[in-house]
Amino acid sequence: MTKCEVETGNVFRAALLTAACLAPFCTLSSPRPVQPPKPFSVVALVDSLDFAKTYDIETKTGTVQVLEHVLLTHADDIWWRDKGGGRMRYPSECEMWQISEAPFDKRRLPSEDIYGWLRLESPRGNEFPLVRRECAKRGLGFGIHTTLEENHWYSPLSSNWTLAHPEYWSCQRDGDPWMGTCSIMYPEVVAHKLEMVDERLALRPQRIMLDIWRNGAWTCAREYSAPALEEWKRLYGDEPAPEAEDPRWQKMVLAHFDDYIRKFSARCRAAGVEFIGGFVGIDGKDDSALRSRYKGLAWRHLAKEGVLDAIFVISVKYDPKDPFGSTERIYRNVMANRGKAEVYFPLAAYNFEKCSYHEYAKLAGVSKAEAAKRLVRMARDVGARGVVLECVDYGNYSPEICAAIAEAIK
Amino acid sequence: MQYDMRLDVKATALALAAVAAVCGGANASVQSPERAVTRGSCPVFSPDGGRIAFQRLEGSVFKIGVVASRGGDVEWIEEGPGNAAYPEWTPAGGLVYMAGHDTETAYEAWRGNSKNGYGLWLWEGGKKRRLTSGRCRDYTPSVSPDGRKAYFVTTRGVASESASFSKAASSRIAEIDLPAGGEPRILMDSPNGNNSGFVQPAVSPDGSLLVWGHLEDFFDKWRIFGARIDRLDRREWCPVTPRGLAAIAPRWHPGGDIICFSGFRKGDPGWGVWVESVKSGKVRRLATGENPCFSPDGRSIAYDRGGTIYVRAFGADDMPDETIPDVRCDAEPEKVLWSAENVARETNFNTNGTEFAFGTDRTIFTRVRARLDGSKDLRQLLICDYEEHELALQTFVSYALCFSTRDSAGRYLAIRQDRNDRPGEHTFTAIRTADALYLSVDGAPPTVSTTRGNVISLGKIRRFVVGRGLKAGEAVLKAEVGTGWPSDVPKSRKREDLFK
Repeated sequence: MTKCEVETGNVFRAALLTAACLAPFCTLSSPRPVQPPKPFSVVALVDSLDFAKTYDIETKTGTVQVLEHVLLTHADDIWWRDKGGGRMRYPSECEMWQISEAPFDKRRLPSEDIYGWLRLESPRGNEFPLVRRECAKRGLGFGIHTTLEENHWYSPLSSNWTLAHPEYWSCQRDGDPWMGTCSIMYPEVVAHKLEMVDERLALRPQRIMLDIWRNGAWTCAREYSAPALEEWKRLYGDEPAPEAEDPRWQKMVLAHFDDYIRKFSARCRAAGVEFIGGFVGIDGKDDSALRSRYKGLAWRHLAKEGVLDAIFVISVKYDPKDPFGSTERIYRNVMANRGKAEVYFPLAAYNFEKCSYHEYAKLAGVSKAEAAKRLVRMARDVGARGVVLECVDYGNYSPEICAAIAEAIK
Repeated sequence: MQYDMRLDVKATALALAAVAAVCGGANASVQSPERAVTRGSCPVFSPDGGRIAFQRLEGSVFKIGVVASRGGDVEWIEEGPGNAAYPEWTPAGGLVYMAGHDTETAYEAWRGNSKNGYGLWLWEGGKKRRLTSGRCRDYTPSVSPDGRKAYFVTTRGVASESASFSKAASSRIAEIDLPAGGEPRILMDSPNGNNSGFVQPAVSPDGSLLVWGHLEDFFDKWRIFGARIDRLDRREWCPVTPRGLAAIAPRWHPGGDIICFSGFRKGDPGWGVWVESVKSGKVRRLATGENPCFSPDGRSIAYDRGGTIYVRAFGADDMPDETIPDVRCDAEPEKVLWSAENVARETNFNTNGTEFAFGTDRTIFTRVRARLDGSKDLRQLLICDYEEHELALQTFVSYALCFSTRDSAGRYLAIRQDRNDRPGEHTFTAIRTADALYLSVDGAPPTVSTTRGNVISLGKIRRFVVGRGLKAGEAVLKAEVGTGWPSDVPKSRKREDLFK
C-alpha cells in the first residue's frame, strides 16, 4: 500500500464513520431510487489463501495472477475474502494485526505449512487496494466476502481480539467457556464487530456479503454467557436456562443476532454499500422452524423487514430424487419471499453441503458441464440477480465448466 | 546499544490511580500495590533480581530489552532487523530468546526450501550467537538451573509428519545444550496431532520437573500439565491445573512448590495472574494481567497488562487457598458386557437380553480391534443404536479416528485423533465418563476431551452394528462394550503423584 493510499483510506474512513453515526437515523424502509434492471451477474468468491501454493499472493504480481485466473470463469463481480477465521487479510487496527503471527501470541498454535507463514494482515500483504483498482480497471464489480466466524475451526486462525478477551468468550450451557468465539450477547462484542464493519467499508467495496454458513461452530448453544443468563432471568424468573433447542432460548438469542445484522446493514447503507446475507440450507419452507434459523431460515424475515439488499443462497435442501426440479421449486419460493432483496443462487464447486454442480451431475446422470449450465439458466430464468461461484480455487472450475457458464449467460 | 530515555509516566500514574480496579476479580487476594516498570510484556527477573528482561512491540516489530526492576532506562538487547521475543535468563546472566528476520514471502520460502525461520539466540557478555536455525519456530525457552540446557517449544517436523491435514497446527517440546546450541532433540510430540500442542515449558528450580501450557483439542482450553524431566513419556504427563480454569504460561516460585500463570475462569474480568500450590492444587487469582514471573527471592511478582509491565509484592496473604473441582475419573475396573469377533462386513447384533441402560454417571467403554487399509473412507466400526439416539455410541474412522456420543439434546459430542494413516491391525478404545471422553490407540495414553453439555442417558438399546463400510480385506477382529475403566488404557497421572 502506498502512503497516498493510506491517507486516502483514512479520509474515506472518516467519512464513512460519520455516515455510520448517522445511520441509526436513516430508516431501513426508506424508499430507494428506482434503478434499471441489472444484467445477470456471475460472481466469484475468491479466497486468496487457496492460491498460496500456486501464486505468490503476498506480491502484487501474484494477486493479479489470482484475479486473472478467476476471470477465466467469466465472472464479472469479485467478492474477495477479508479474513480467514479471525485472521485478517488487511492491516486491521481493531484486530491488532501487529501481533497475529503465531509465535508472538502464544495462545494461538502455529501452522507450519505455507499458510502459517503468510502475512496478509501486514501492509506488505494487503491485497485490497490493488484488487479494487484492478476490478475498476477491468469494469468488474468489487465486493468483500466476510464471515461470521472467528476461527474457521482452526487454532492458527483464531481472532486476536477473541484470544485477548476471555471475559467475552462464549459459554456452553454447563458454564464452560471456550476461546473459539465471543458471545454476541455482550454489547462490547457487537461494538467490536461493527468496528470491523467500518474497517471493511474503508476498503471501499461496492457490496459486502456476510457469510453465515462459515460460523466457526457458533450456535445458540454457545450463548450461555452472563448477559444471556441475566436476560433469561428477567424474562422467565428462576426457571433454569433451557437447552439451546428451546424456542424461547433461540428467540431470545437470535433477537440479538438479528440486531447485529440490522446494525451491519445500516452501516453499509449509510456508506452506500450493498449488504448481502449469505444463508445455507434453504428448503423453501416457512420461517417457523427456529432450530436452524441462524443457518438457513433467517433470510425470510430479514428480507421482509428490508434489512437485506440481496440474499445469497449458499445451498438449498433439494430432493436428491429430483435434484433440478426440486431446486427450481425452492428457487421460485425464495424469489416469491424475497421482499425487495435481490437474490443470488449458487454454482458451487465445493460440495460441503452436497450442493455442488458435481453432485447435481451425479444425481441427475448428466455431465458436469450440463449440470452447471442448467443451474445457471435456472437462476437466470427465475429472475435472480446472478450466480455465485463458491469458491474459485485454482482449477476447480474447469475450462468445460467455464465454457458452460459462458453459454448459459449468453 | 541504545537506551530508551522515555519514562513511562503515564503508565505509572495510571497504575497508581487504578490499583483497586486492577487487582480485582471475584477472588482477588488482599490488594497489593503494583508499580509500573516500563512498556512491554513477558517480563522475567534476572538471577540477582535487579533487572527485568522483557519484549516490547514498537510499530510492527518486537524487540527485547532489559530494565532495572524498579524501572528506568532500557538497554536494548535485540532490536532488529526482524523480531525478537520471549527472553529467558541463564544463571550466568545471559539471555536466551527467540529471534528471526523473515525477509521472504511465504511462497518464496516454500518454493526455495528456505531455512529462514524463528530460532533461539543467546546473548551473553554483550555478544549474540545463534543457537538453533531452520524453517520453523523455536520459542518460549526455559533454561535449566545449571544453565546447561534450554527447553523450548518447536514446530520442527510438524508439517512433514502431519497425516490428515495440510495445514498442520501443532507444536512439540525440545531441548538443546547450552551454550553450544545445535540440533534440537524432540522430547515431546503434540498430544493429539492437528489443533493440539504445547507452549512455554518451565523447568522447576531443582531441575527435576517440567510444566507447560497444554492444548489437547481445539474445543478444549489451555491447561498446565507437568512431568518429571527424566520421564517425559506421554504416560507420565499429568494435569496440574483444574479443567475449569484456562491456564497458560507457567513459571515457578523459587521455592518449587508454587507456580504462577496466566489464567481465566468464567466470571473473571479478563486474563489474570494466578498462583497454584502444586502439592495441594489450591489456586488464587492475584490481579488482572498476564505472563507472570516470580523474583528470585520469591517476594515479588512481575506481569504485564495492556502493554505495560508491573511489579507487586508476593507475600503470605497471596497464598493459594481455593480448590476448584476437577474432572472425576471412575476407578471401577472393566467389565465386558458384550462382544463380537471376526466381522468382515456390516452385521447387526442383538443384545441377548443383557441390560445396557447407562446413566450419565456411569463410565462405559467400547473397544474395537480392527484390520484396516489406512485409507480415508468412512468406516463405522461399532455403533450402539439406542432408542435415545441411533448413534448413541460410535467408533468410526475416515480422515481421522473418532469416537462420538450425544448429549441430552441429541447434539454430537466427539473426540478425535487425526493420525489415522497407519494400515494394519489396531485397537481403538473409547471411554465415556460423566465429564469427559477418552480415546486410546493400541493402549497408548488416551487423548481427552471434556464433554460440553450433559452426556445422554441411555435406556433401551436396539442393536449393535459392526463393520459398516468395511472394504475387502478389512475386518473388525473384536468389538466389545463394557463398563468401568478399560484395562488396556493407562489412566492419567494425578497431580498428587507428581508432586509428592
